Amino acid sequence: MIVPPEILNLLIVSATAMVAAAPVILLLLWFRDKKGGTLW
Amino acid sequence: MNSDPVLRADLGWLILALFSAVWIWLGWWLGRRAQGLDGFMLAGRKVGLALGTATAMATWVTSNTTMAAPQLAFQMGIWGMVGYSLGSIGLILFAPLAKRIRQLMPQGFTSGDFIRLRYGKLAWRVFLVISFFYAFGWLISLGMAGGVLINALTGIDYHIGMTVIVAVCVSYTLLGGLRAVIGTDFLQSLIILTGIVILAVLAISKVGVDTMHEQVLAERPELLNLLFPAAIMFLFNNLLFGIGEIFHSNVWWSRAFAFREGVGFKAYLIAGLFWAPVPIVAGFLALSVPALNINVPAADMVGPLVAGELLGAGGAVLVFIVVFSALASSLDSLLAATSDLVLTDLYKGHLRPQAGEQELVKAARWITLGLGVMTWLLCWPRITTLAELLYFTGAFVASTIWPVAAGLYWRSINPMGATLAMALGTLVGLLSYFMIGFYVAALVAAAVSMILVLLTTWLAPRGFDWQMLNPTPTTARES
Repeated sequence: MIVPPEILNLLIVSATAMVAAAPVILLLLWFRDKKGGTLW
Repeated sequence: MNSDPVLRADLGWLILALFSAVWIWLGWWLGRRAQGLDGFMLAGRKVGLALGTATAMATWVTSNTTMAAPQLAFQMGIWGMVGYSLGSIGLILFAPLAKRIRQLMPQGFTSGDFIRLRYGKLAWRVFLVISFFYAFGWLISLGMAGGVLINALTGIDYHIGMTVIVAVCVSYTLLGGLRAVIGTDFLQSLIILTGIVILAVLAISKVGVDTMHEQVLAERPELLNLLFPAAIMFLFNNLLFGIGEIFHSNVWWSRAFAFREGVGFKAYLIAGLFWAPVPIVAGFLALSVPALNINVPAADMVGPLVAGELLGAGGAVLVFIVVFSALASSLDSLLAATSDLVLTDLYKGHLRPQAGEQELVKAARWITLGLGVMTWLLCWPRITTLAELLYFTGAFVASTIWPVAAGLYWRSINPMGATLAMALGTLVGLLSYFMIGFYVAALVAAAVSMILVLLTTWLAPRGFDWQMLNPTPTTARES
């Protein structure tokens, strides 16, 4: 049962998009904590 | 190795020197305000959501993710990288446990504390053997990965590269304790995630997923087969291995103690969701090996070699920075958490029960240094490939899943049953590692452990007062 190219493409592209979103969210959380005095 | 390095050695030295200086300075700067044992070991127990999420994510993105994910994709195809991404389930499942740990043990220090107070001294000692074996296995795999990476990319001797990476991480952990570790983890996580995305986008645009698929299908079709039996076993094995690693290791427990109240659940949940796609993004590079016709002299070099081949010197610099950050973010965490375990459970728990705070703060630094030296010595002979070493420890950690998780929620767990579950689970898991293969060790260990915990608790249930997990300082060592 071979994975079709469309599924492989979907898997790789969606995983890359998710990883790309992570640093943005981390920075937003950092600014929120910094502002609220809850960083440390 | 029999392939040319993709980076000039002088450029490799420049990057190493630059990042080493940054991490050591940052470690000193972040750790300068750490006060007392809580400050050094647990960053003052007030770490917020941003730093908490980043440290959980960055620690779990190790050299094993960035280098072993391509290796596993190269050996097991699509299930190799998807199976590796199931390691995120461990982080996600630890989210409620982190909340529970903070509630039950607001003054706790280590995972060893929990086992000792929950199950008694025999279980504690069995657990410590497992924990230390795993911690050293992981430390060695990280140190070795450092040497392998630097050698593969720059041609700098394995021993020199490994020495630099271990020395840098020991230095800044020594200077700043957990504050230094968590602070650097935040920056390292941004570097890792951004770097991986850049590499993936360049790889997709240069080779194309359709070309990868076509060439793999022509040369190694089993890598795209959803019914690849060893790979399916690997998938479940890796799931249990990841859960076992996280549930028992003091790396994750020390963070549960260090996070501000209410942060643990969210931090581990978000970190798990961030982590899940990382092995797929790092791993799929290996599927381009047939299309690029690359000679891969050792499976654990496949990631750096593909990146260098695909992206030239710029790509090699990027992969070097990403893996250096991934290594540092895990090695520092492991050094700090293992040092806590040695300090609390061996030094204070067994050797110096009357040691005061000043003595312990001083001892913590000596222990971190000693662990660094021991890691360096054990990494010197390159004994095995990264994945083999990693999965050897699977039998150990998977045997702790049930004693840890059930012990946190289930009052009537039989302590002797929990002890036997850890000891026999490990033993049978190791037998299966040697008799069947690395991909079943964790699976078998977890199954044996589960059966023993359930059976002994059903046959001879025991009561437990949860308050015992939060003793006053004077009674803490009497139980």
